[in-house]
Amino acid sequence: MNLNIEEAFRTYLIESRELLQQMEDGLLTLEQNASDKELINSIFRAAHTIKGSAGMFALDEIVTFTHHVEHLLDLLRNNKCQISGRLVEVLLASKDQIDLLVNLAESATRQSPAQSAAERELIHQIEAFCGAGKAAAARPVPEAEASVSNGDAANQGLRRYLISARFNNDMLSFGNDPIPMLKYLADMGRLLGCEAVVHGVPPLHALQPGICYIGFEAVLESAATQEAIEGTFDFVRDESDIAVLCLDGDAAARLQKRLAALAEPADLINDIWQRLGVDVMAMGATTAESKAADDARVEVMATAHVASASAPAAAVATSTSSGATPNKRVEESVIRVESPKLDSLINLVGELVIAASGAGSDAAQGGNTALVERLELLTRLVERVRDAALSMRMVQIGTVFHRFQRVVRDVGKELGKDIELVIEGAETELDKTLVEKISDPLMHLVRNAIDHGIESPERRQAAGKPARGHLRLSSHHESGSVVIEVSDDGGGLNRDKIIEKAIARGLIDRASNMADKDVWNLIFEPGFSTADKVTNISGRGVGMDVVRRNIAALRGTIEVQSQQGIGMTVRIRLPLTLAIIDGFVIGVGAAKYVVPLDLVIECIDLGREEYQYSNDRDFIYLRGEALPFIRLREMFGIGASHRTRANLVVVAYGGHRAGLVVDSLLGESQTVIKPLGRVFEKLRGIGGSTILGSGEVALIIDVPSLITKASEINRSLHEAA
Amino acid sequence: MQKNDELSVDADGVFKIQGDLSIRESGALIAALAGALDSGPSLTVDLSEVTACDTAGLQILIAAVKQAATDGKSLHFKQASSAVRHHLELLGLGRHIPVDHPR
Repeated sequence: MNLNIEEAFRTYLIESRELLQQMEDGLLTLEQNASDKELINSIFRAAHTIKGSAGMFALDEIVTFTHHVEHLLDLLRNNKCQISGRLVEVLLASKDQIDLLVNLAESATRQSPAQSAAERELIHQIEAFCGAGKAAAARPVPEAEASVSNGDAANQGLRRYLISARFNNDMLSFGNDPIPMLKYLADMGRLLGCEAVVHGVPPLHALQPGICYIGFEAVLESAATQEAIEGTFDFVRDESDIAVLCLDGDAAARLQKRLAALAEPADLINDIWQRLGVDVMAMGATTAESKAADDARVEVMATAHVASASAPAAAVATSTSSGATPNKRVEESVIRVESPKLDSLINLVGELVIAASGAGSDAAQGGNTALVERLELLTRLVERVRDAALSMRMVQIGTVFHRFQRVVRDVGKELGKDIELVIEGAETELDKTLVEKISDPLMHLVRNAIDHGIESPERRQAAGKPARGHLRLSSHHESGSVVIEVSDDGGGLNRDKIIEKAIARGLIDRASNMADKDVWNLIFEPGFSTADKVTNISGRGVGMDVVRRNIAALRGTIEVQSQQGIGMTVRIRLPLTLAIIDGFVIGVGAAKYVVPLDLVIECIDLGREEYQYSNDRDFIYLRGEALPFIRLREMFGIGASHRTRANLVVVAYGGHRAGLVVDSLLGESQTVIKPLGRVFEKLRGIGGSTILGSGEVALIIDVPSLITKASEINRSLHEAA
Repeated sequence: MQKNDELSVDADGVFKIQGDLSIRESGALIAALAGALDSGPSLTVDLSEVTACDTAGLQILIAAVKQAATDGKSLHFKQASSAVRHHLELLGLGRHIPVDHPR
């Protein structure tokens, strides 16, 4: 039997983090709109699920701490506690603490670390809120409890419950184990006793290790509601037979019914109950027919349990009088796939694409028309498979954007700035690896905008702007790339200050007529910071140069627009995917190169005259406009050509155009990008390599870096003019 | 995998479980324990070196008890480690897995 507990644990980690994110989003919204009842419920459910699953993996630290949080949330949703800014603050801090505990659990140091001082302090604060809530509560006992308990015990708040559990399903293979459940029950009160029922365990030769044959009878004294106790079994309830019976009041009838419903001989169970201090006989079994109303609830439960295999829904329905059903998750049509599996699929599809295009070109040379046609169909299908495979890696950028809600709120508070985060285009999709890698640079930009960009409310009002600052994160697709913008309505960049600093640092000599754009680009130089003071948030020397380097590593570009006093926008442009592109193959000398087809605007035949004419300078006039160009022969040191004709490939990226002078145009090709080794990391102008259909290796031209180079030429052109 | 690969009965008819007594080791444990039971009329299982245990692991011990009863053999347990003792108590399995504790 293959028991994938490791896998289950990984899933648990992923799900917990999602739930924590959900909690955080919920809490942030709650801060704005305190009356949203459903929101509180969903936060509660998130906490409840985190706790429940943590119990399954015996992560006691998480269970214990989350239990406190859950308790407070429970009071909140029952209106026994008022929402306040301070309370949300504590709940957010608690969410962070759970996050920390989950990380600790992951880091494999499964020994429980002692509760940190921070954690104790948090628990203390939570308890303070709970205490205040209890004092303010009008009714100390929820309705659900009152219906099954009698008056005397309720005054104390403590009741005795018999918990009778039979599993008889393969839950052990899924990491569900009765031991953590018992530990969890013990946390809810005092576990007065427990005895395992091993009647159903088969002899060793017939044992299936994943099935839990062991059941138990336990007695718990607790102030918790019956519902809360039943909640312990949320994760196994559907397939198991669980009865939680209140032993106070006339319990005899309830016990009798349970006895009748169990598969074991009545004597055996009676003996166990007696050893646990539950004596059905002494309670007087004659009351079975009386108190019909009181028993109605138990009766339904017992019936449901008799037929538990066929009617799990009934058991759930009876136990959830409040209407909230925490264990019934919304069925999502989503499958979790490990990303290495997806990567290997994409790799294979990549090989397939190469093989298909190779077969296609061979067939074309062979002149077998029927074969060529079939291969064309095949190629089309392979392309569709490629697109489908790639789309599986696509995720919405919103997951990253929403993370910044908290950053904006916290950093804004710390700096005494009132800032609203506006998110646009959260549904824009891009490659998962990109999403992961863009997070850090974005964080830097967001912090920068809050710290240096948006002014304090006083200064904003003095400048005639609304006191509340706006930070906008937006994203959209633009011709084969994804554009991500971080903009703020703050003070913008100070041109004079940047120039002053750049001169001081020796980056430029003078700035007489530098274009704004070039001035802004100076902020990407290493060690450049215009912040007057170093704050906690930013300005510690790790600057925009790192951001630019990170973006460049993703084959992306970054640019800045700014207007003093009005605001600033940082625009990041990223390729849609890192894996496969439609390429345009060009020949230079004996070598072949690939240019991403998306970036090619047009191809121009450079005749003898134009070619010679342009020989001594680096631009031509194309339809009246100067177009800088680069001779790839020179660039790659291939030596002069004896040819008299050449081709000009016009490429564009990020609003700039440039020409590449090449020997020949060889047509389109599906290109699977293979990264170059570390040795070639510093190589300028080359973005990777690929294998062509013919089996030849071709280098992929890094158009953005060439365009930058061409723009430099262009600038010197302008300065000369 | 823990050291349970080397599970076998020693000269004194003692079968020592080392490492984890849990769902992960269950396949190997069941096979080894069944083999050990078949090898003679009586068997003692030494639980002193069990580092961790769960319900699946304890259930194997119960199944072994039932197997021994079916086959008319005698099966004893000795020296439960603290991990085993703790969970036997919690789950209320003490009656079914009596453990001798020779001082």
